[in-house]
Amino acid sequence: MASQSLFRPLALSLLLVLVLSFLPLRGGVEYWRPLLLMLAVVYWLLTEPDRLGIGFAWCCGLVFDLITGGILGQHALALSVCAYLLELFGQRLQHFSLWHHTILVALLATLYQLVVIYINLLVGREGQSWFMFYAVVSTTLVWPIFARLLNWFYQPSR
Amino acid sequence: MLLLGLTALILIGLDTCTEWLEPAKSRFEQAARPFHWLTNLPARLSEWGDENVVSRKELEAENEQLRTELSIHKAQMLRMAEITAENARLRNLLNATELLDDKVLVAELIGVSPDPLSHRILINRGSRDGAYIGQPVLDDRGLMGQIVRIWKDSSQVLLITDSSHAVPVQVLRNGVRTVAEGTGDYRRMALRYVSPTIDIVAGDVLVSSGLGGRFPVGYPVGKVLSTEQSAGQAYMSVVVEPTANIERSRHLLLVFSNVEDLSAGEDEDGG
Repeated sequence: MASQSLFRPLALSLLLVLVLSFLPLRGGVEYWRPLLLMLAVVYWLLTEPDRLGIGFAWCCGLVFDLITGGILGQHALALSVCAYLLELFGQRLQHFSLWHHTILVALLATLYQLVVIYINLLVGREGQSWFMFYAVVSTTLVWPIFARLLNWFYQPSR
Repeated sequence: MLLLGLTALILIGLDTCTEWLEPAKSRFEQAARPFHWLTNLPARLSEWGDENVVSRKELEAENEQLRTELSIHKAQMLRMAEITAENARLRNLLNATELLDDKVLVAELIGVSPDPLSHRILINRGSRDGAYIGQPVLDDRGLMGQIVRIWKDSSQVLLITDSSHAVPVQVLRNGVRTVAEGTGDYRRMALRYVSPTIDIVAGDVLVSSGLGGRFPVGYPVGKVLSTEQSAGQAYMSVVVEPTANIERSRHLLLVFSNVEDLSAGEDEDGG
């Protein structure tokens, strides 16, 4: 029963995040698009660390890669690196305040973008790498709102 | 973690070095259609609003303007017919390859790639409408890109500004041939390997040269913004602004070009 109550909000939030990441932004704004998928995965890993792990993050990343038609495995790798770090710090993180979490998200977003940029360079997809860090700023700013919203919808079973 | 990381790395390798994953990717990307449709609703609504919520006066003014434009274009077309005929005659005299009329099909933009580094768009024409992979796509101002993936009623267009795209061009002023590459920026392209002795100056118009056989000859591609020769560099760096309104165009044209006579001409040269 408990797992069922998790499934619905999880699927719904991921679907919403996917839709939002398809919003057509152009004219420079596209670089400011927050890494919503990463936010969602980090949120779920923080609130349900016992039930969700690196595999979950990896699958989310792979689905994202498949649907957006990017380099297959790119976001899967970036997300699983983030998930690995979260798992490394373990249960301690759960008791942090929202502001501590915000700092954590900033670090994770930087790491995430570094992995993405690194893979882009590796496969020879040059582009404007510095612009990629705009997304880190917007992701950090969006996190408090995002986390509050999800908290409002979903009460962890603890 | 190690296992998943390795799997991801292997997938990345497979995806970039081989074509094996192409069918699966193509299928899954079609699953993204509803997302594109949903997120394009606001743009479509505003377009619908622009079309339907206008005063009678504005409509009349626009009608008037369009009529004037039409008559001007018609007058120009009259001369075009004569010039085309003359051109064909001259080409016949020169034994040159014959270029037939390009047919076009109007398509509409239905989605934009969510990744800012990959300049790909979705259009609402697919194999059902006769579109094919490699088909050139234009907007009303110039070359936009080419179709790289195709489904039944939609297809994916790689824009000329994508960093993996290059198009053979020539300078309209003097016919110098070169290659314009995308840079990953919607408003900039670059010419690579331009020798400093070549005659290219800011303001030059670049048109597609038709070399490579993919793009038809003579469609405007870009305009040279600046040229710079820095000491110690073997080549000039030339910045080009695409002519097409790559970021904003919603209505595009698919070109069906006839370049079948090209091979016949080559055979004659060879023999």
